Amino acid sequence: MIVGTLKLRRTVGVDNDSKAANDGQSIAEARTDPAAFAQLYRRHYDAVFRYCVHRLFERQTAEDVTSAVFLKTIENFGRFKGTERQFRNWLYKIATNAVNEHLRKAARKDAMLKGAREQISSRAADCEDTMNENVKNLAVLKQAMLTLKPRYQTIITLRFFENLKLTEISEVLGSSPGTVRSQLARALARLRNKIRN
Amino acid sequence: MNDKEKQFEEFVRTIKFDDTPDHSHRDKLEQDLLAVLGKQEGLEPSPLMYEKLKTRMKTYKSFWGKTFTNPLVRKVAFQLTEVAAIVALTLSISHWFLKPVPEIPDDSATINFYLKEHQGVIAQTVALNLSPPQPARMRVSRHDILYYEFFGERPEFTRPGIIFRGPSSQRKVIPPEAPAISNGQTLTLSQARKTANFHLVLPPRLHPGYMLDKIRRIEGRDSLHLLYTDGINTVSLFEQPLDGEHGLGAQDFREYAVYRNKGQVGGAILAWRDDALSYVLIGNAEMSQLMDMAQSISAGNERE
Repeated sequence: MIVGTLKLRRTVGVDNDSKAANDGQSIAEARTDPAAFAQLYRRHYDAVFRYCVHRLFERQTAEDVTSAVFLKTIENFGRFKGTERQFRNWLYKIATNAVNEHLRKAARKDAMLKGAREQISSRAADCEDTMNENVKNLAVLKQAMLTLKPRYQTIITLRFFENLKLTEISEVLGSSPGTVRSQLARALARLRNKIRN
Repeated sequence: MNDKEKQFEEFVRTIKFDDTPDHSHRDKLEQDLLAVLGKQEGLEPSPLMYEKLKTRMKTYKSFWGKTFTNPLVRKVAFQLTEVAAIVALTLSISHWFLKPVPEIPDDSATINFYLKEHQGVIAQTVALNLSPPQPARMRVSRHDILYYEFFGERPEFTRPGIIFRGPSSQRKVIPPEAPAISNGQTLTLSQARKTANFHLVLPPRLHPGYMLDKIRRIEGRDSLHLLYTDGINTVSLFEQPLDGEHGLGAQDFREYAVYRNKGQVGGAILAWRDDALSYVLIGNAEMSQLMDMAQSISAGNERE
């Protein structure tokens, strides 16, 4: 069941909408027609929101950052030239910058870490036996992820939660696939150490 | 995907995120975005418009664009531009290194030039305190003025005079009526004595190296020109009677003196007279030599 849910998370679903989604026609229409832009927005909202949730681990914060991402998209939409698949990668790039900027605020980051620790300790003390395994793993993952570099967080999120290929991640980050591969290996190693500790 | 990645993916699968999008937020954000779009002046113009503009720009050629498509015109224009750039660069560099020309101070002065009556008029004017005659005025440089003393037969008649060097730098005097020295027959000393209407006076003593070279008669004048030379420098002695009907006038003397000395360096004039004759000594010799010669003539004349 979980696997099925994960499969549905694949944001490449947009590629199945129509051929027009990839040939740039929808992008061209969205430049002149607000209704076409609204359709484009609806097709990509879920992906951006999920990416923000997986990076920030908070729904409310993820919604705020998603709003900022699309506002930024409108500001710079005139400069974007490409197909809709490239548009999706462009959205990920904007979202990555927005999330990193959000996490760069040290106070917020510390508050999130502190909240995660309190959540783990309190729940362990109160109902250690009845504690949901999923909640426990989520808290551990959140604590470990937020201690990584933002670039490593981005790579892991895009790879394992958004199921992007290495080539697609390299487009988002502006790096070569080989670099992304090596950075993914280092990120996983560090994350594993964090989770074990 | 390697084993480590597979393990981590298995771990991720055990985690259930609360990542279901809230459609109410999506719709609200959509309304906000459309409102922002409505506030903007408009979305990007149609790409077709860009294509049309590009096509127009390609097909449109201005007059200069058409002109410069000609290879010959383009080559000529390029060469002209290159030459203009080189000239401009050279001028700017030369102007940069050009030193300012120092201003030459005006050291000239206006002096009263009494030549008409020479010593007599000056002495008479000073002695009788009469109103001086109208002098001939000329501007000469102070560097051209050599001496200010005028010779007289007796010390009490010695008065300031004018001795200047060469032509004035401020003055051009080439009179058309300037008297010409006869280039024809030169006279021997005996011929000169016979033809002259006055008693010719010769300097009894010459500066070493000088000798009498030629004697000529100035055409239309009762004047004789005696030319002395040491092989390099020349000294001309002009003698004319004071009562001569065709003697050299003051203007003639001045113009001639300037005319003779034009282009020479270090030329000087001495002028004086006695009871019967007027003497003018002109030469490019040293001033001391001219003065010796003048004193010798005056002394010899007194002995005679």
